[in-house]
Amino acid sequence: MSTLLNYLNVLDKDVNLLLAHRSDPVRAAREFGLSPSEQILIASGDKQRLAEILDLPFRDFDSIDSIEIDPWR
Amino acid sequence: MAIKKQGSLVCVGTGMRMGGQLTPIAQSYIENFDVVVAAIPHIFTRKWLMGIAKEYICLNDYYADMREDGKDRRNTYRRMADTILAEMRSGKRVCAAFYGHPGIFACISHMAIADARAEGYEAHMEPGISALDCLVADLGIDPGTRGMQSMESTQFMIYQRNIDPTALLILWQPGIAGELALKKLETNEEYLQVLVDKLTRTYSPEHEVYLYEAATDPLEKARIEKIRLKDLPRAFLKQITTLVIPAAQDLQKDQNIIDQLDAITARRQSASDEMAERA
Repeated sequence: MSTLLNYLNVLDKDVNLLLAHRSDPVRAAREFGLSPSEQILIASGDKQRLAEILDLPFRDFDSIDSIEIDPWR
Repeated sequence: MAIKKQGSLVCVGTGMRMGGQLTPIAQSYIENFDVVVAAIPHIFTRKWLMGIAKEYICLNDYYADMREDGKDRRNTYRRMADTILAEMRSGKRVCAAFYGHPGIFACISHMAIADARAEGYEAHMEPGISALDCLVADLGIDPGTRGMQSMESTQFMIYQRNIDPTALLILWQPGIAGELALKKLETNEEYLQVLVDKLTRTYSPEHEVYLYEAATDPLEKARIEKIRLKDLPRAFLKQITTLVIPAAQDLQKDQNIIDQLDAITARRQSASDEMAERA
């Protein structure tokens, strides 16, 4: 797993990183081991650019709920 | 005793975000089962899960087929369930992962578990954190305070439903409301006006409602936008937008029931007093 993706995931579940990120995202990212360009990217919160760096096709979050709303049809 | 077949199925939820809303047991199934078959829309979460699963089969492309071919959504869901079941029938321990809760607004997991059990396979579901859980936390509302009604927007539109204006009403997926052919994941202003017209049988057009979207990663904040009900057709709606309609009327006492309960209490107290006197 890339360090950048790992940062996002740990940010989602570790209160210490979360608080550090809220206080100073560049410093938090640097101390996590991200490169200078990744630190700036994380601080910007630009998800489209993040997706590019992670080699992911950027798409907005699609709801893909599956609901049988009409069982009679 | 019937012997369970080789191959098994567990359906897990990944929550609405990344690892922070994934339960320890769900993560353990994802990491340890033979194959993860998943419908995870968020690209960062999906990439992360692909990295921790032994084998990952992505169901998201099935939705693309629907968009391109105009296939009925139910056909898509059946094909997704069949893909899960095919892996299980080949003898694998299958973890089917869905965002949110795997059993809420997720017919695929219910279909797959029912079919697996009918065929003699071990199959069960592990709960996950749903959009409703996030909504309660973000909006600071307690469904227990006034009661809660929750239904899919199109279902509310096309069926006779009795709405209680003294309780909270949550309508899911207004962003695809009214699309009866089930071939598109979108709505339009006219469909939404029909929805508003039906809601205004119960609520004032001026009633304040919320558009809600849970945060889907740690860089995002939840969307909580207050609008007038009448403005819904022109609001910006995404597929994940939820319409939250607070209660519009105060609770009305049912005095007949209160009187019955009081009478029972008095009778039981009287009987209790009599027994105490005899003793």
